[in-house]
Amino acid sequence: MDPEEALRAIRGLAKANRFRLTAHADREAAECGATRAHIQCALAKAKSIRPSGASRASDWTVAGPDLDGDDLELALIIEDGLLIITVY
Amino acid sequence: MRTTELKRKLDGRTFRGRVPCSVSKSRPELGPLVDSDDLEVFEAKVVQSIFVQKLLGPESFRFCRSFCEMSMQAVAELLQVDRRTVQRWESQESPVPPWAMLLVCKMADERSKGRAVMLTWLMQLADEKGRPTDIDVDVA
Repeated sequence: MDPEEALRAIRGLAKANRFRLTAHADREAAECGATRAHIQCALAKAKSIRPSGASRASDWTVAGPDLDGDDLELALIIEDGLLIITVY
Repeated sequence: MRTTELKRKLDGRTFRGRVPCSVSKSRPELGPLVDSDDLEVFEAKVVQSIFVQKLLGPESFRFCRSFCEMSMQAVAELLQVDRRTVQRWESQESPVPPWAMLLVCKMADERSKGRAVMLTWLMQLADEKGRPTDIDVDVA
């Protein structure tokens, strides 16, 4: 999957509420005061994407605006029509 | 069913709850995964606790506001205050007034139960043009 294709898939899956979080990502999000709505908003409106480095437990790193327009960066994998967010 | 514990710290209070979890087929090393629907259920329970226990604070306010999927601008318009006022409340530069906390908390509590009475009421209140000028009252 190329980055453009992945970005389209990520936006679509986020809009359909098809995402899951690892315990690590949830903990980091909570520490930053981000709720489910902030994460969904950032994914659904994701503007940039890049392949995650080989050392990271993710395939893609995306960035998009949260509810207040502040950019959030999330690392994720796409598995069986589902986003798995590994790092917030 | 496997479950995992979620935790939120808001204004010095810790909210804990267990939610169902799953494991990735291709990367089990990622550990337990929480579905966004279950995360929403947990957040709804946190909102309900904030409302029932009348917990006041900037982090609880922000949590309730974002549970309603509202931006600072949207909530400022609804409460008829400036966006910077909401920003000051959330960044603890000035205390969140109890009336603002009550309205946002009530909206969030209703949303957690699939209702929008307070939201509709505030939207109508903000719309001067939508209000009638002649009103018949039933005194029977």
